[in-house]
Amino acid sequence: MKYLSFEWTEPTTLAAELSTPIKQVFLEFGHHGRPMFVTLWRPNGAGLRLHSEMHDVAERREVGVLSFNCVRVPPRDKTIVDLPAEFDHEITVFKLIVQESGTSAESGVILKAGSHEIAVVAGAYPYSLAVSGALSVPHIFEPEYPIDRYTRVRIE
Amino acid sequence: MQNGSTTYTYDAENRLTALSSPAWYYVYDGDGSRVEKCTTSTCPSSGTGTVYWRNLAGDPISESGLNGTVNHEYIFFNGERAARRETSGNAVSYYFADHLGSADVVTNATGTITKESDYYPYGGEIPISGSDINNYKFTGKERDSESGLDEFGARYYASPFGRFMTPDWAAKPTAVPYASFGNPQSLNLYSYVNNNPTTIRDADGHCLEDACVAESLAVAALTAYVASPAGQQLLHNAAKDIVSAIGSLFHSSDKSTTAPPTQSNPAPGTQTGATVPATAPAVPLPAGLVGTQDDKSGSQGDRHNSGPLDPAHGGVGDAAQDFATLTGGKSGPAAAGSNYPPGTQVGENGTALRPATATAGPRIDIPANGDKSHETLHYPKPKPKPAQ
Repeated sequence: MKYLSFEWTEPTTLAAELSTPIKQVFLEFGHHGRPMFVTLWRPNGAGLRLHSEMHDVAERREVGVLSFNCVRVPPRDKTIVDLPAEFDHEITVFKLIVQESGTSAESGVILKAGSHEIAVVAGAYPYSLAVSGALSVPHIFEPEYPIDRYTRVRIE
Repeated sequence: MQNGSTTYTYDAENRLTALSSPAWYYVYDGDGSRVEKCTTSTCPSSGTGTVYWRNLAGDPISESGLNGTVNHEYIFFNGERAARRETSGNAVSYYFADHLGSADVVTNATGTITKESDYYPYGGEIPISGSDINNYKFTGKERDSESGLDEFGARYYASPFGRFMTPDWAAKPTAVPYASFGNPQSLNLYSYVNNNPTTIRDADGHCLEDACVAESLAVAALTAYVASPAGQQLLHNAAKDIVSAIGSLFHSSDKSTTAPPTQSNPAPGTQTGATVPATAPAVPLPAGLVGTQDDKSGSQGDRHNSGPLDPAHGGVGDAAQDFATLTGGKSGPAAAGSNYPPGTQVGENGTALRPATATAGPRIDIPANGDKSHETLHYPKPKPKPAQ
């Protein structure tokens, strides 16, 4: 079986980056009104920026895989979401894996702090993201597949 | 003119100047804009009333008493009333209007709804909850509590009748002002927006046919857009943006980015700022699948994979031409820094054309629209050109 991992090229481990406390989430929207980038912004003035990359897995079948990179400058045009204080402490991280056409793809993450959860998953619209928890508005959460199709695996 | 016990008095220019019961008097400037209303014929020297202070567009940006003391200030964005400030106590109220500009929801500065109303097609108010002093109601026009009439500028409108109180008129003498002889509805000079009140609004008390038609199309497109997920997202962000922006106007020392704490689900976050473009799409998104359906087509989660644009929808088999059809030619390269593959084109309606890759042909991504899911049109990989 083919396996598509998160795209991460920094020297640190992605698990360590994702479990670092965050205070805000920045969302950048595309023309279609769906998030294209999500930045987890930390109290130290740095962030982890997520987006989705599409991968062909079969004819007319493609799946989104999350890609991460560290940023030190906040994006210019963004919607800012202030997070509850629980995210100031260490965060429990799960990755979401989906099976499609004989391929497993790491398509999402869940950040859990206290009773709060933020899910960022590759969106149904190619190259978009679906975000839940941080933004609780209608239509905003449009993952590529129904959320119960993803396998949740804790990463540490 | 009399209506039961009330007498309406008009001047030579057919402007309402007095109401007998209750007694109110109206004063206009040389351009016909109402500048004052009061309870005695000798105003402003006596009685009570309101003086209107307007901007160059004619929007009342301040209202004062007859002594000139400002009572209310209004903030307009793009000609739409967005907020009101009480000069006594500095309380701020925000206006949330429907597609016609009717003030459906008024909130206080923390986002709590203080007044919510719906409107019948011709403007009658259906109070839902709360109370507020707002008197700018149907399509954002002032409703005079003493008469129940809406002040549209050139004329007064009676929402219970769905008719203007006086016939339409034109500055340049003409047989039937603003009439289109191909549309008999326009021959009734008392009618409101040619009897299309749910899609058209009257800007100034005159119904100029061309303007009505253009406005109708724009409103229809906007209505379709706001019903779509993209539109919903746009509205959500725009509302937040307005609250944030106006809040900064009134509380310039307050740089907090925390949004009103009363939103329905404040945890885990609140939000400010927005990046969603504030324009309706030039070409509406398809309401149904438009790609060719064959044995390789089908749903993949919440996205539908199709073949090239169906000829029944204008498809010619060429991704670039079909993309132009779907976007009306209104597109451009994906923004610098976007995560789309290099060479991607994005239409104003959010539709994207991704170029062919080493392993697959070009694709067109069409955003969801209402109940219709996202759809990706897959094109065959171009055959390599034979060597010359």
